[in-house]
Amino acid sequence: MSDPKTKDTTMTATTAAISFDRVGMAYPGQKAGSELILADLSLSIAEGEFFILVGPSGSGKSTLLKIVAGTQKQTEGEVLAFGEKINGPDRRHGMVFQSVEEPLFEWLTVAGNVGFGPEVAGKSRKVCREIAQRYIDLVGLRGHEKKFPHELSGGMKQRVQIARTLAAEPELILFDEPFAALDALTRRVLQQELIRIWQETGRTMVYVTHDIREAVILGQRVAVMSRGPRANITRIYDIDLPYPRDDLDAEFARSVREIEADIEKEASSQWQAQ
Amino acid sequence: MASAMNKATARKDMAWSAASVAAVVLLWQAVSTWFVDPMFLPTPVAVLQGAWQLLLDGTLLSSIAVSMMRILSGWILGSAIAIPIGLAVGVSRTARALIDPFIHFFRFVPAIALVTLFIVWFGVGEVSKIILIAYATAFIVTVNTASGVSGISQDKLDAARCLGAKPLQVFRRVTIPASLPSIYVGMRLALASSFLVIAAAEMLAADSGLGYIIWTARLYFQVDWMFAAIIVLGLLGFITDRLWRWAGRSLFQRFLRGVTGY
Ligand SMILES: Nc1ncnc2c1ncn2[C@@H]1O[C@H](COP(=O)(O)OP(=O)(O)OP(=O)(O)O)[C@@H](O)[C@H]1O
Ligand SMILES: [Mg+2]
Repeated sequence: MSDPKTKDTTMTATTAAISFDRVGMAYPGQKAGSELILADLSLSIAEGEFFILVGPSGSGKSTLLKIVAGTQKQTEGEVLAFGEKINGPDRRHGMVFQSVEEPLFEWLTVAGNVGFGPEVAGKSRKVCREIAQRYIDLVGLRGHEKKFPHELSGGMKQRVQIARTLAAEPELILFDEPFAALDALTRRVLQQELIRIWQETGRTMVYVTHDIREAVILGQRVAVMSRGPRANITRIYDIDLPYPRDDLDAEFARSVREIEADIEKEASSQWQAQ
Repeated sequence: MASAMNKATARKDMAWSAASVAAVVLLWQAVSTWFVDPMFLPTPVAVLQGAWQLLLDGTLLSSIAVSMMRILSGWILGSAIAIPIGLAVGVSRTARALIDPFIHFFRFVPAIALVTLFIVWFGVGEVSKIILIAYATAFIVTVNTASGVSGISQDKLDAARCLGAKPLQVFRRVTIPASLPSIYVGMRLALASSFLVIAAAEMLAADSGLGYIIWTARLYFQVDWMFAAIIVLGLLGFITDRLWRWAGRSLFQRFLRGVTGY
């Protein structure tokens, strides 16, 4: 049942995969004294959880992911991953980027891309190939190992990204609207695959999306972010529906409507504010 | 990879190019026969005869060898210096701050303006010419390399880092391969300007080379020699450019997709 809570306090920092403690964020080079993008944001995500983040455009969802990925650093507060401070990018924090083309290495084959993580970790050629093959199979790309990115469709490229991220064997995976650029049918297929992968690997997933239906198909919890600046998480919904989720189910529709109403409120307050 | 369809298209393109060259040569023959004093514009036939003369007495082949040796050594030397500098400037803010003023000053000082100075410094031998070509090459390749490096998308670099690559691994496995297209294009542009520079250098101070033939033909009123050397220079440029493009398409194809089209 969807049971909104204003702030999550049920999980302690010791069991949390990720915890934000009164985090504030301003990008370097922003005008001094200009407002924070994220302000006083506290959040705790449990190990093995499928956590969804939704919210108005420009609120700071990507920024939040980048802080966890270690490619940006918060300016205030503390962020812990598995109890440790985040010190730059780390193999243990995988990221699937929103962009379909840019993150792939176009001079490497599918197998080369997927094997990149194990390779830089110093694993032997043979082991790299085996690991790559396992994750290529997992995302359903068997038979395409020798292809280069430009020979793949958009959906296949996103699957390469997912396989590559998984092959580095991260403990948590961050997804920044990974399927936004894809057609509805491919998106549906990949959503189901993602749930299967999550269930098989037991990884912690943090997933940003604009699509509320997608949020409710995938997530155990859906957090709604307020509009920025000084964005925060206003509400977290528990989605207690069994997987695979049936989008014709009445409970499903109710959750979607509820979150949608919430977001609309946020978005309209944004327009009124301007 | 080329399918039958592609081969047919390629053959058709070749036929058009051949027809276009033939038409221009015919036009040249007509103009030089009927409209212009052959002292100024020798006919294609006369040029061929001149070239034959130069070929028989050995001048042509030795000049080609000498000029090509200068061009290729200078071009390779210049690139070998420029690529590491370009990479450094593209990667490191400090390196950029240190080197940028010089790059953007000297790249506007044309190599041709330095011919005489280099002769004073390095003598009339091979060294001054090779250094001159290296100079002309280096700035083009540096600027292209650096702009290639700074054009690498942040997502690509972040992706590598999030997959666990350490800074040196990011450099070797992402920065270098991702900037190869710009390096390749820079070297191709530099090759063209090497030809420009060698002609000028050999006219001013040399006793061999195609530029030397062009310059000295004047003394003997041998405009046909001049034309022969000019055409050979153009042909050599054309051939080396094609070879470079071929190398890009076959040997380094996976790194250079998209820049070997023209
Ligand atoms: N590199 C940057 N430098 C300065 N400001 C930035 C940078 N990246 C993002 N911002 C600013 O931070 C705010 C939040 O951006 P962010 O990309 O995190 O939003 P988002 O919630 O992911 O939006 P969207 O849903 O449109 O992707 C925006 O106001 C944006 O202008
Ligand atoms: Mg975003």
